[in-house]
Amino acid sequence: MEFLAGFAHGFEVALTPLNLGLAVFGAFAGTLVGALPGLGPANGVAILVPLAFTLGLPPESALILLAAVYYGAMYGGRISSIMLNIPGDEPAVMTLLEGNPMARQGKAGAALAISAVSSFIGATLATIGLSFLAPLLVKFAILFGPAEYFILFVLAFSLIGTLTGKNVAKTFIASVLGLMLATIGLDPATNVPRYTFGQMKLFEGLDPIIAIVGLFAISEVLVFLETSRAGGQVKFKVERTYATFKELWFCTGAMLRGSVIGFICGVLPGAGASLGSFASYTLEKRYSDRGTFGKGDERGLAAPEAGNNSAAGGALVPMLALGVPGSGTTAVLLALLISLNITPGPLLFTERPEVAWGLIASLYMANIVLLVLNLPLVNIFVRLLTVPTYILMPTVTLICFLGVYAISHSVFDIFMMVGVGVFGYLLRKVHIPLVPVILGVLLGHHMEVNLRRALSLSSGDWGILFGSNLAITLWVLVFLSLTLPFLIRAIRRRPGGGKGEV
Amino acid sequence: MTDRITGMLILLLAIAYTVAGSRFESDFLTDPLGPTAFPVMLGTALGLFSLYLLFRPDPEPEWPGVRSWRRQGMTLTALIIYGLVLEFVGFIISSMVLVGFLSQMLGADRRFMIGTGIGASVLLYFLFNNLLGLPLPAGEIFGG
Repeated sequence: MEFLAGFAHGFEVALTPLNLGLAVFGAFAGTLVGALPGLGPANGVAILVPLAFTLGLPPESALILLAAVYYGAMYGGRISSIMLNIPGDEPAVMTLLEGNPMARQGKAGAALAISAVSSFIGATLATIGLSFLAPLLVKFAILFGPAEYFILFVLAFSLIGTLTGKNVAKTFIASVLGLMLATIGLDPATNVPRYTFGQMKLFEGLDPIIAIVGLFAISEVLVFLETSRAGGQVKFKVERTYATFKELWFCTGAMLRGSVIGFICGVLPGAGASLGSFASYTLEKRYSDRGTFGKGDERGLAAPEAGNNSAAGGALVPMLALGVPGSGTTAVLLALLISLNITPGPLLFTERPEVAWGLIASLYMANIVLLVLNLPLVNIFVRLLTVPTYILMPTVTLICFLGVYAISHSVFDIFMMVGVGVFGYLLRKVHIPLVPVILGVLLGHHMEVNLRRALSLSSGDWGILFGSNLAITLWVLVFLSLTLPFLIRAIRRRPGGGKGEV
Repeated sequence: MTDRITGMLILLLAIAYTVAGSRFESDFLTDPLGPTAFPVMLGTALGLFSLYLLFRPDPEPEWPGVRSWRRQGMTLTALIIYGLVLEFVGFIISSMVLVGFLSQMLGADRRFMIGTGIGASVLLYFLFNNLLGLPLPAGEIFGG
C-alpha cells in the first residue's frame, strides 16, 4: 500500500538525529512563543522563517522545525490564559473562560494538565486525520485544471472574508491589498516590469518572508510601544502537574467533540484555529452546560484546547494537498516552501515524498515531545512568563533584523521590512486584518498565472471558468460562502432564534 | 471619520493602481490577457470595497496619544538609522545601541537597558556568526 510505504518513509526522515533534534527544539521554542502574551503562532513562525531559510537546512528539516514551532505555539497559548488571564495568542482566548476561574479556585495545576492532555488529543487526532485526508485530497486535486485552481483561490478568499473578522469589506480589502502587493515585479509571462517605480531591487517582487516579518513582527513592536505592558504577574501556585484519571474521563467527550469540530474548521481554507476553538467552546457549552460554564468547568477548558490544536493540524490539509493555506500560520509555512522552490499541491506527495511524509511523521513525534514538555516541565514555562517586555521585544526585533538581513545581505530589505511594518501597523489600527494580506501576497502570483493559463487554453473565452462540473461546483461553494453567513446571522437576530453572542 | 479617510485613501490608491495597470505594454503577445488584465481586475475590486468604507464606516477606533506617536516615531527613526549604519559600524555595536534604545523605550531602567543591549547583541552575534556559520557584518571601520 502506497499509504503505508509513505508513512514508513516519513518516519525514516523524521527519526534522523538532526530532524528529531529540530523537532524537540521547535516544540520548546514554540511553546515559549505561544505562552508569551503578544507573540502568537504566526509571529513565532514568522520570526524563525528567515533563520530556517538562511541556515541552509534541507527543505524537509526546515519544514519540520517550523511545524514543531507551530504545534508548540498552539500548546503554549493556554499557559498564559490560565495563569495570567491574558491569552497567549488569539486561539487561546476561549481557554481563558474556564481556565482562569479554575486557577482562581486553586486548581491551576489541574487546569494546565487537563488542557495539555486535551491539546495532545486534539493535535494527535488531527494529525491522524491529516495523514488520511491529505492523500485522498491529492487524488481529487488531479482533476483541477488552471481554471479550477483559479476558482479555488477565489473560494479561499471568499471563505476568509466571511468566516474571519468582523467587517467583511475590510477583510476583502485586506485580501486585495495583498494580491496587489504580489503584482509588484516582473510580469511572469511577458517580463514587463510592473509597479517597480524603476527600482531594480523590486524587479524580483516583494519577498513574502520580508512581508511576513514586517507585517507581523515589526507592527507588533509598534503596538507594544503604545501599551507598554509590563511582564505579567503569576499569582497562582502550580500544586501538581498531572490530571487524575477521573478528571480526564469526565472530559473525554468534550475532547473528542472539540477535536472533530476543530479539525473541520481547520480544513476550511482561511478559517483556522481561532474559529476552531471558538466553535468547539460554543458547541460544548450548548451541549453540556448546566450552569457550570464560566465558573471553571473542566469540559469548557478541554473542548477549545482540543479544538484549536486540532484545527492547527486540519489547516495543514489544504496547504499540503492543494497549496491553499487554511490559516495565517500555515500561510507562513507556505511562504517558506515557496522560498525553498517547493510547490505544494497534488504533486508534492509524489515528487517530494520526503517533504510531505517527513512533515506528517514529525508531527506525531512533535506531539509526544510536547506532551512531555507540557506536563512535567510546565513550571519552566510558567516561570518564563514573567520575562519583562523590555527584554523580550528588543531581542525579538533584533532576531527579525538579523534573519531578514541574512537572506540577501541587503540593507534595502531591512528598509522594506520597516516600511511594510508601518503599513501593517496602520492596517491594524483601522481594523483591517493582516492574515488575508499575507495570503494575498502568497497566492497572488499563482492566482494570476492560473487565470492567464486558463484563458490561453480557451483562446480568450471566459466561458472556461464555467467549463466543467467541478468549476461550477466550486462557484456554487463560493456563492454559498458569501451568502450563508449573512442568512444565518439574519435568522439568529430574529427574536427567539438563538441565544446570541457567547 | 477614520474609516472614511481610510476609504478615501484606498479609493485613490485603487484608481492610481488601475490607471497604472492599464498602461503596461508588452512587445509581443504571449497570452490573451497580457500583463494588464489582472491588475485592472484587482484595482476595480479594491475601488468597490473602498466605497463600502466611505458609506458604512465602523465606529471610531482608539488612536494612541501624542506620547505614543513620539515614541513610535523615535523607534522608527532608530530602526532606519540601524539599517544605514549596520554595515559601517558592524552588527555588534549597532545592535547594542538599538536593543538598548528599544528596551529603554519599553520601560527598562539603566541597568536592564545596558544588560539587554550587550547581552542580546553579543550572544546573537556569536550564536549566528560563529556557531551557525551565518556571516554578519563585522563593520567597515574595523576593516571587516
